[in-house]
Order: sequence, then C-alpha cells, then structure tokens
Amino acid sequence: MTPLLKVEDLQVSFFKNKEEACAVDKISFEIYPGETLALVGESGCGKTTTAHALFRLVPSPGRIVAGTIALHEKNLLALNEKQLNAVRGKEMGLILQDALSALNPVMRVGEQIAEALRRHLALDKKSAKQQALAWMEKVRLPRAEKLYDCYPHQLSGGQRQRVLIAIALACRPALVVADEPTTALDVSLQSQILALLKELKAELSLAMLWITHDLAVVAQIADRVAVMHAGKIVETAATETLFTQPRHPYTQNLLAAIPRIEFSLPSSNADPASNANPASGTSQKLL
Amino acid sequence: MIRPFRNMRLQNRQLRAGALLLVIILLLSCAAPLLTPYSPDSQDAPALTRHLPPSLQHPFGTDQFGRDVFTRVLFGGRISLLIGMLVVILSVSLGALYGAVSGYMGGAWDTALMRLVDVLLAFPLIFFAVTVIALFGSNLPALILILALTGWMDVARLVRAEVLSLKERAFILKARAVGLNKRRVILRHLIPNTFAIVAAASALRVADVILLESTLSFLGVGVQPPAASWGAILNDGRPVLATVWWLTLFPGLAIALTTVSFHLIGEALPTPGKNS
Repeated sequence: MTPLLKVEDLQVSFFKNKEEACAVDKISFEIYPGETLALVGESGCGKTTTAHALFRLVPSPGRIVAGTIALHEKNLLALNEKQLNAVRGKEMGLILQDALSALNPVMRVGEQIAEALRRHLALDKKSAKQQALAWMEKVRLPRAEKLYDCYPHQLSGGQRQRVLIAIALACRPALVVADEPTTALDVSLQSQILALLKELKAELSLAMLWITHDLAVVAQIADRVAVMHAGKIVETAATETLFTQPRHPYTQNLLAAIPRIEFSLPSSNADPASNANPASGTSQKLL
Repeated sequence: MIRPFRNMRLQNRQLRAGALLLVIILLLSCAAPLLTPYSPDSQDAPALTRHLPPSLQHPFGTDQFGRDVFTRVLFGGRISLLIGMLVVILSVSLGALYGAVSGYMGGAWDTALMRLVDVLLAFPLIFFAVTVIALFGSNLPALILILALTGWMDVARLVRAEVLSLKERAFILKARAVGLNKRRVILRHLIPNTFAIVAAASALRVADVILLESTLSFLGVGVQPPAASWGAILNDGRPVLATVWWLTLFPGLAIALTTVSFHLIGEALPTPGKNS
C-alpha cells in the first residue's frame, strides 16, 4: 500500500541574526490511508512546528530548510501558493488546540464552517449553509440552527472544539492533522471529543496525525506512535509495542514519567528546546 | 469590581448623549427647507436686509447679502456633514486596507509601505490641499477626494499596528489552513477584527475633517460661494467680526457642537485596551 503522506528528512529551522535554531531535525514518517499516527513528545520538541510545516504555514522567521512532504505522492514543497491553497482544507484539514483563539471572534461560527465549504466546493450561499448545518449536527452540536448565528464567545469550550472539527472536516479531506485537540478540555469533555473523532474517522475513513503529549490519549486512538524529542523522531512503533517494549531510552523515560501511586517522578533538567546548536550533543545526551 | 462597571455606565451615557446630539444636528440639516421660509442663496433686497442683528424674523441675523444666517447654517450643515462623513468613509477604507496589507505582508513590504506613510505624514498637507485646489479649481467631489487622500495615513498606522498582533493569532492560522488566500484572510478575517478601534478613530476623524473643511473654506479654497458650508459662513463673518458677531458665532457653535457630538461618540466606543 502506498502511504497517503510521506515525509522525508523534513528540516525546519528558525533564524535570528543569521543564527539557525533547528526545531525539526530531518524527521521522516509516513501515514497510510485510514491510519492514525500519534506524534508524541514534550513541549518544545517540535511537534507543533511539524504540523505547521505540513501545511507550509511555519511562522516567520521559521522556514522549511530541507526535505519532502508528499501527499498523494505530490510534493507539497514544490507547489506554488495557489496550488497549495487548493490542497489546504481540501486534502488535509487542521484542528487546533485552543478552540477559542482558533475561531474568528467577530464571525458567526456557522459562517466559518460555510466559508471552509465554499472555499473548495462550488456551493452557493444557501447550500453552503445547509451543509454547514449538516456538519454541525454531525459533530453533535445541539440546536444547530440557533448555534449557527452565534459568535465563538457565546459557545462553550466543547462546542467550540466541535465547530473547529467541523471546519477541518468540512471538505472531507483524506488527512487530518490534529494539534493537541483535547489538551485544553477537561477529562470528560476530552473523552467525548475523542469518541466523536474516532467515530468520524471510521465514517469518513480519515487518516490522522494526532499530536499530543498525553500518552493516555495515544493509547486510546493511535495505531502507531512516533516519539519526538529535541526535533528528532527517536522511535516509531505500533502503539501496543511502544507501551510494552519501548526501545529508545527517551521513550522509556517518557513512559516512566506517567505518575503512579507507588512511583516518584524522576527530575530532569533537560530543556527539550535547547537544540540551537545541533553540534552540541545528541538527543540522548540531553537526557 | 465596581469601578469598571461605573466606567462602562458613564461611557454608555456619553455615547447616548453624543448620538442624541448628532441625531438632532442631522435632523435639523436634513429638514432644513421645512424649518425656514428663506432660501440659502437668495438675495432679495440686499440693501435693506444686510447685516441685520438676530431678531424674531432672523433668529441668527443676516449676512452681507441680506441672507438669513439661520437658513445658511442649516443648509451649510448638509454640506459640512456630507463632506465630514464621506471623507471619513473614504479615507478610513483606504487607510484600513493599506494598513492591513502592510501589517500582514510584513518584512520589506511593511517597511516600504510604512516609510511612504511617514513621508506623507511629514508633508504639510494643508498646503498641499490648498495648492491642488488652487491649481485645479474647487468643486465638492474634488474637495472630498483631496481631503480623503490626505487623511488616511493615521488609520493605516492604527490598523497596521493592530494587524501585527492579530496575524499571530490562531484563527488566522486556521483561516490559512482552510485554504483561504491572502486577500480573503485580510478582507474577511483581519480587517473586521479591527472594526472596534477603527470605528472609534473614525468618529473622531469626522470632527477633524469638518474643522479642516472649515479651514479650507476660511482660506477661500473650500466650498465656493454662494453655496454654504459652516466654514464658508465663518469666512463671510471674518472681515466684520467686531460688529457682526452673529455671522461668526452661530456657524462656529454648529461646528463646535458637531465636533463635541462626534468626540463623545468616538471616546465612548469601546476600544481594545481601554478599560471597558
């Protein structure tokens, strides 16, 4: 089977005064159709930058320095802005972490879904609204008609996250990149959103790149896991294997860091973002 | 906390007072032909009626051609307010677009576009306006255009500063990830988010523009006689200020009240960063 998304030697760096800080360091991974790959790692290890890079939306002064990102065997790094905009939202959707700041505060939430629909599908206003309403029901938003005309601040956190999911899935992309979609939610809401995404994933046969630092979530949703540390992917394994037989020392530490009653937290002073000078030691040394 | 709420109530009252005053001024100008038996331009018997002091027949007195000043202030309000509002609508649209593009593009584009604004701001614009009007003659559309073209830079700066922080927000990332192009992101997502501060700034600009038009009329390059604007009437009163005070006082009052009403509205509109 050919992979849906194939990332090879992707390197993203941030530049300041000609100094290069490498945030994503030659990572490679692939996602097959319908598969969920979890990208785990601690804050600052380059997970979110990887997500931005897939959409080629790395904020300045960051830049994709090297590598290829192939979606449907089409290299995204070779596309121009216009071709890229045709791919964004249509073939891959993005779900962000903080749903309040990820929605335009002065635009009605229904319109934000309709906007995503109209961008890629030739729809008139009325049918876009109908489809947006259908999506709102699909993500289990109650009283869709009424919520359609609400502004983001009038919705609850869970409702906003559902709107964001509807926007990302509106054009039925084959791949969804979910950047910590449940992190900002409380535990019960988290499990609801997780269940919803699982269900939609099965229904739409979505492939997902699920970015998180929460191994409990990983265990529930991922088929495979890529462990990221200091800009590098240090281990990729099937979820089951990773939890039972972690190979890389960092993965072992990560699993050991899950607090257990009989267990005390190991202290670590390693700064995951301290990769400004790649020559100074490998990721193992940082541990 | 009681204080912010009290501020808000005060702001609300201020907003209402400003709006009420403005509505009264607008109604008076719009209903001008119904409120006065005179025509603003007619000079029936100038020799008999010139420079009459305020009386029951002429509540604001008459001018050097025997025209009723009350009538001229009412009709002058139409032109002054029209100029004020149209100029602000035009210059704010231009400034918002310019500022948003500059802020969103960033980098060298931003630097270049903003230096141009600096250059234009350093230019003595009133002399520029006087020169252009003196060269090409004065008519209402030209006057509005020239005032709009010289008044958009402040708004551009304001919007650009706002966009610089807005563009880092996650909803812009979302909009880009949905596949929207830059034009749409600017028009649909960035500019609408600057409406609050732009509205407040615009209300204040209307007052400025009315004063600026008065200045131009005062210098003789504004609205041309016999048409009346508040500034033009003031100008008529200038040579006889010591004796014919009513010719200056009443249009001056009209300008002051309008300015006050827009300032009340502009300052009461909620702006981000202000305690509201």
